[in-house]
Amino acid sequence: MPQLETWHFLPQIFWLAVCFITLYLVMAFVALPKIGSVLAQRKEKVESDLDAAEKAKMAADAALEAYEASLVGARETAHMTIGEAAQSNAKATEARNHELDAEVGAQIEEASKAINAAKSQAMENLASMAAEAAREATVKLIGVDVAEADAANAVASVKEG
Amino acid sequence: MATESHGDGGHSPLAQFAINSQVDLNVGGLALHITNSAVVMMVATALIIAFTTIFISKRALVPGRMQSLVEISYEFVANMIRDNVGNEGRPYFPFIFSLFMFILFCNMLGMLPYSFTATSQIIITFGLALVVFIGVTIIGFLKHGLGFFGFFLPSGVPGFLAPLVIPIEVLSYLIRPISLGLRLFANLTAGHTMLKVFAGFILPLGSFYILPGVIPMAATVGLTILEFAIAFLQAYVFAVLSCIYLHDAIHMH
Repeated sequence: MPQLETWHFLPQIFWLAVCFITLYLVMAFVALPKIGSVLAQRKEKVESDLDAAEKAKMAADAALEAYEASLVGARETAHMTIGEAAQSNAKATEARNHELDAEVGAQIEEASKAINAAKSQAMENLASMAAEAAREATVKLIGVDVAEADAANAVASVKEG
Repeated sequence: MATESHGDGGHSPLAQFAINSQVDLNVGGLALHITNSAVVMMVATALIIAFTTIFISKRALVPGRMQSLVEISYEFVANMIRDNVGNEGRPYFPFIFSLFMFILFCNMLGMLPYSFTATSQIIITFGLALVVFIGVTIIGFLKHGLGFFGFFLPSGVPGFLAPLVIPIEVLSYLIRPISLGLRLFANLTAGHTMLKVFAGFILPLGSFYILPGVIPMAATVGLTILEFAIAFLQAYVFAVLSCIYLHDAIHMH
């Protein structure tokens, strides 16, 4: 087996040592720190991007919350305005009703006064007409002309019952 | 399976593992020849350094295909350490990463035709395993002082069993670098030998009739796919076992 010949042991070990030590030094002080820094840089970038995304999401959530709160506020104000308007409307209507009631009441009163006046007038006329009728009746029945005043008195006494 | 002299380009399935010197180098009487395995290790080292530095230099926030590959290999090893060692394993990340990538690239380079598989050299796999073993042992003693010897007597073992348990534990501890190095060496050597054996059958059988040649051809194709899987798997196994040994040294079982 050529591997077991001893003459090449020393040169092979020597060059193995040279190669491996060179490789180790380059790896340890040049190549691996560089690769490690590239990987760390990428990790950092990814993490910072994720962080930014998280922050943006939180900002969006806050904006959404504010929007909803303002929506609720607007709805409340609208309700309040509507309520106020309805109330003032109702008040105005009531006041107007009162006014109309008063006006109508006054007119009714006036009208009933006029009716009463007309009624008493009619009653008076009725009495004089009754007296007249009674006088004419007495003339026709018994041929006695009764004085106007007497007839009126008689009508009044009958009316009084 | 006769021992071949190096440099002999014979047709033995083991000839592919022969070491030969590309550049002869003697420093102070020590033979430090640049062998074919050394060339492959240098290429692997250069490729790993290029792979891990060039494609990441854009520092793209959204990685391209190659940058993703670099990042995946980084996170693959990082997760392996986190799962097997825990947070105390972080300082050893560059070492485990280098180990995994080095073995993976050496294995994969060995899959190229006319290339050479450095990880099929027992001296190299043992060298790597010994680095892990010695390093882990030092870490154990640094963390726990002499209390690390308690590792050889797991808590809850009755005292009268100690004479039996301690030698077993010591032996199983000392055998770790051997099993670690041997596993990688044996897997790569056996796989590549088998590939060579089956590939060697294609022409002789195919020259009789076409059909008998097709069978070893199909086997070679299947084995090649399997070898790619093994190339990755053995790098992973080596790294994971190193992590587990590291975990034992840091947490004591």
